[in-house]
Amino acid sequence: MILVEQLEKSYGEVRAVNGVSFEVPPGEIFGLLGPNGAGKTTTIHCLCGLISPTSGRVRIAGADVQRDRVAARRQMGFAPQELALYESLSARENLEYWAGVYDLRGEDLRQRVGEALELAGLADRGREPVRRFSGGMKRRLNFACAIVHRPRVLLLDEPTAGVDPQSRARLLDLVQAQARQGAAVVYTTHYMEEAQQLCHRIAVIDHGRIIAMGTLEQLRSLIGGRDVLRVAGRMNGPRAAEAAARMEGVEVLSAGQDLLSMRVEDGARKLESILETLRQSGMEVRSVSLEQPSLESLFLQLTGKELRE
Amino acid sequence: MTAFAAFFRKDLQRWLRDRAALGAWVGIPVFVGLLLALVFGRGETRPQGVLLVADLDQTFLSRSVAPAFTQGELGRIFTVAPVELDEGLRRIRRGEGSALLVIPEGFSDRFLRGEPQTLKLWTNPSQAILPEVARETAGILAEAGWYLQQALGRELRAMAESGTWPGDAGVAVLAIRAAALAREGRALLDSPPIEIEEKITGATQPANMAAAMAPGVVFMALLFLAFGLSGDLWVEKSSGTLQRLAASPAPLELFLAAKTLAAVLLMGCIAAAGIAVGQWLTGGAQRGLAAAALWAALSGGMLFLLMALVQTLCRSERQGRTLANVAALLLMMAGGAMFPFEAMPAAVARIGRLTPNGWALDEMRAILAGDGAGITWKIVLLAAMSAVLFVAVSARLKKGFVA
Repeated sequence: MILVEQLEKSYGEVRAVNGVSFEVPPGEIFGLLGPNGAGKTTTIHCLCGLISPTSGRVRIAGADVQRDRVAARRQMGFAPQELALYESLSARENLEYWAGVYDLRGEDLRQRVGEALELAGLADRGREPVRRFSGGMKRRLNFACAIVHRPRVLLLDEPTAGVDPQSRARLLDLVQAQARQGAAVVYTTHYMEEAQQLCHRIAVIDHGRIIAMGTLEQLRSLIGGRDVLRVAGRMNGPRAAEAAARMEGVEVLSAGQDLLSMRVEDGARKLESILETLRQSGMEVRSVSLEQPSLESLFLQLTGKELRE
Repeated sequence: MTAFAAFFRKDLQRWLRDRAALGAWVGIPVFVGLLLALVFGRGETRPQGVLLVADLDQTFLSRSVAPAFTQGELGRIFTVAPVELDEGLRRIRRGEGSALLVIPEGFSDRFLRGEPQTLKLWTNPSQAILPEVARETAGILAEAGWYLQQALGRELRAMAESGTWPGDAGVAVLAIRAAALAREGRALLDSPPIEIEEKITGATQPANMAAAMAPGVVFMALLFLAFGLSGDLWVEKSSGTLQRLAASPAPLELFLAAKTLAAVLLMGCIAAAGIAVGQWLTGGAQRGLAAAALWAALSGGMLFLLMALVQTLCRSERQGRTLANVAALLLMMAGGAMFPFEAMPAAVARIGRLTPNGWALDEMRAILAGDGAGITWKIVLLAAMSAVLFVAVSARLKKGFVA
């Protein structure tokens, strides 16, 4: 349904997207996970045809996004990061507008607008101006506007940004429902939990490159089941790294002046001896965190930095 | 609902609901117009001045000089204020008058004897027109006096030498002599064989200041509306609706065309109301209203696209709004919307009439005055200007503005 081949987008010397390729079949939710500035939004803008790629190809439901724009866009629903709504219009008027943009009319338009309002849980607030809505309600309406014309491909750019947990859960349910009905979904986020909970497959992206891609299990296996141990304090970078690296089953991921990150086999058991070694090497430990393998730890392992840095 | 209808309906709904903005775009020009009409006065557009007259002679003849400045049309220009010499000098130095005419002591005696004498005229250098009118009038008076002396010099001198004013018989003699002179001179004074036919063009001077301001106020509102409505492109960009639209199959040209049409409709309605109210307030005939409103609406569309181009060429919303605001204000001031061309120096008015809104305003005034000559070609020209601007804004929307 979605085919992306060797996609590249450069702005002068800066490569915002660098050789990105993936395929999303109908019914799959494909996550693009990465920190801010990783290239997620640029990738999704290339998918929508909002910006022209420097090279590479994007096909939506068989139509080339650059050459056969109208056919590709007819199959597509897009929810940008911003709340792309008209605040002075009611929820119903917003939905009628976006349905009209896709040339829906008459009974068909009314029926789909009604369905979208029901889906978003806004049927009883449909005639109220959007400006009176809470952030969560606006996000749901923003999503409803993207699906009112029943697209076969959904491109969602951080659709849960800034919403409360309850609204987020409801939105994720809505996305899953669309996938169950056969839509191919590309979902960008920098929330690891969202990606873990929602996506069938995930591509971890950094500096415009996909650095890992697969199901959650496939990605976890890349870490090798080892825990991630973070020790904060006065670490004196290289000396701390040297001390930790001498220990068996410990791999240093990053070593700074204030934080030392390591991948450790059976971290809970080895924690005490690691801390003792660091103290003996002159490090001052202030706090410790031990994490089970996750996308966060995978990102740390692959890039040497935190996902939210 | 087609995409075009959806765009058009959405914009009208949003703009009409934004009553505060709409009120400001229409209310500010009305307020400015009222303010200017109050400052310039609601009366006639001709300048009004004060002629100070210090009569040191205080005789029958000297007292007949001042009323000469208030005869006929001059009476609508000048108000004569009798003053003492010292007060008159003080006031003219402070600029509290257009001119000070000093009639010297012994004026009547010297006039009756046919002796040369001097009338002193002090003028206010800060005024351009009225002191010149006073100077010209005083010159005419001096010439009239000379002719009077040439014609009735003997009788006047006899009167002066007798030391008394003539009795009824003396006045009768003077009247008979004057009538004889008039008969003799008629052949020279009667209308020449060549007649001059006076034609008043349609674009006549407005009857008063309020009438002169009314079309300008309409165009000021159009410029405010053009500025405000074109800023909607930035609202659509920052809210993400423009991005979402650009990812839909609907072309951006259709979106811009619908937005322009909605702006034209809104501006046309406001202009029609403004023109009708302006004509009613100034007591003008309700003629050419529909044609003028149509012209104003089309001009509004062109100004909307012009402002949209200025806004979309900028890199940020703040920059766009600032530049468009400055452009709108400059066009208002130069293009006769804020100050009527009649109140501008001729050179500035000539430049102002070359601005798009200045040209359109002049044409609208011509339509209202019943002079719609060549209007078809002018509409074609206006449409051509709008088309060029439309293509430029569309290109800018597609290249760089949306993403």
